[in-house]
Amino acid sequence: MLNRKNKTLAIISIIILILLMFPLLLVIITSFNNQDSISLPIKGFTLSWYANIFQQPDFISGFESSLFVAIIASLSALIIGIPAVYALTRFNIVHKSWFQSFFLSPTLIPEIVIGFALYQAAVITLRLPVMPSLIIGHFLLCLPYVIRLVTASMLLMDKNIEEAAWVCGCSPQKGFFLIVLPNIKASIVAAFMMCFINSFNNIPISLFMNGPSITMLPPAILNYLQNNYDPTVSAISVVLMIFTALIMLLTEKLVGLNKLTDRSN
Amino acid sequence: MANLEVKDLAKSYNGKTKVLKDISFSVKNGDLVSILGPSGCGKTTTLRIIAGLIPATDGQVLVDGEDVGKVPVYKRNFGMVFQSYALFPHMTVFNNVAFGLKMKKMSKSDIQKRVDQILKITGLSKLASRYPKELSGGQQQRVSLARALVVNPQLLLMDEPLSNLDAKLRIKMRSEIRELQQKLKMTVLFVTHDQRECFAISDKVLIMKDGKIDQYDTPENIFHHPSSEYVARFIGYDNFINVDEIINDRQIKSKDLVFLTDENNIQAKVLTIRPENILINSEENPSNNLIDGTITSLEYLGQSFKYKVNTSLGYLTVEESRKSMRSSGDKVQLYLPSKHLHPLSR
Repeated sequence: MLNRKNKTLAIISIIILILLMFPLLLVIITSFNNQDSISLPIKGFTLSWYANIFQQPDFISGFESSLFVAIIASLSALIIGIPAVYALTRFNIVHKSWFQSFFLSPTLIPEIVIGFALYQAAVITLRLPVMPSLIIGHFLLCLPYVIRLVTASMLLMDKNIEEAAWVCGCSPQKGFFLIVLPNIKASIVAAFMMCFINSFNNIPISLFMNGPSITMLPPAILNYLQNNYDPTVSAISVVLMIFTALIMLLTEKLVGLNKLTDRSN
Repeated sequence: MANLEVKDLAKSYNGKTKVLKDISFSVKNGDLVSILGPSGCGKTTTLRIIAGLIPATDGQVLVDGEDVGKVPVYKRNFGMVFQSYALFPHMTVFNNVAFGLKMKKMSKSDIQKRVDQILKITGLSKLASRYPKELSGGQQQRVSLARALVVNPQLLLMDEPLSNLDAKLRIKMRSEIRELQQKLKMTVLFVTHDQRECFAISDKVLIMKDGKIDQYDTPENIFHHPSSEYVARFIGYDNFINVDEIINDRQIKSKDLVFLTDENNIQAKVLTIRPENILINSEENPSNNLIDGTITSLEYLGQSFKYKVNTSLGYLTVEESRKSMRSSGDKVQLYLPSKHLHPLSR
């Protein structure tokens, strides 16, 4: 039996869900419209806008570079972030809280500011090529997710488990791979997915780093929208939605998002 | 298994907070020694230093005469059982137990043989393919023990291994541990805060207070001859009589009462006696060590009754096994037999 409080909560949840989903629904509907502009109600049904996505070289190359940057940035955030978390949770480091806030600081600074600052520093001052600058920017975007998620599961792991391994004859280095990593696996997979999705969908940082040779997908969509107000944009939005949903589904299948906070996993 | 010797161990943090001072003791090969004390007395710190999990500030840990101070924890070949069991959650019981052997690069068939053997000894054979979270507390505790024993450790360290179990299981497990220890002739160091637990299974008990050793002796000796008021209180002596004047080595005076003791009391500051050793209205008609009082409160303990008696020396606690209960307000005469009256010098 639902009590009153639960009923109220359910109603609020449904309203929020509708508010979130309704615009997406409109996008999905308009993507099938056979008219030349994004409009409602739709007059007829066509899949030609989906076909048109593949006629746009910017979309294809944008998808490729976004995918590449997202994977590299997420992986490097993990490679830097996991040892950092290990050090922060296991050792007595001077100025520990300072380091913690430092690693999380990208979340506090507006992304547009990070983008602009990186543009100034990496592109203008250091004259770095576009691709490395993009990867650095997206790495900064990803790092806080790794720090947060992995710290949470690191704190849940009993420190004695690691010590037990040492007493059994396992060196701390080996123990990190044999004991620690398997026990924080769920948070690592989840962190990777969060990083990937956020990097892949990011606009502000990519916008600044867009060079003459490289276009990221979200800025490419923006650019297209400025010149053509046709349902191709709806179509690619739907494709991206499905792509993101698939990644979430994969995470759920691999580790189970709800397991992240479960001590016994 | 091996001898353990600890010499002048000290530990301080930031050069200031001293948590351990002058810890020296030795454990004979095949003995089970308990470290007993309240939380914060440094018993776990001592154990962790011996294990090599934390460095000592000063002093030595010798195993069979060799200083292991520079040997890292993973090269010491000790076994350790943790309070939280600390099983590897992502491994089956078999793999948990096999872990130490894999680290030694033992062959697969040898690992299989050895693990099977240990699982049999600890009664876990049927659970080999289970994961830790599928086991009960007692079973997890056995796996933890099996994992520590499988490598034939020189020394088995146990950090409050029983305190997460319920009372019944705790008593069962402690005798299992003792049996196993005797069968395998293991040298064991066992940390606990439970006096009954450690007296029941130990060859010797080391009582710690504020980072120092207070008494190190066999359970019998500690029980009958506690070295200090602290130890006496810890092991169930409830009654303490201040010594005001030492008349001679067998007689002391407290207020205006004279007490005889069987033991030499020349350095006594306090006399102590266990509640069950005080007799109420004794029929032996003793002529000395008597004190009058009034019962002020009572407790039913099942086998016996416990009374609080108000005397001219303050409250004394008396335990008496008798069919009928005395009642509050009764005037009684207490007899403190001289053979049970222990002088304490601190």
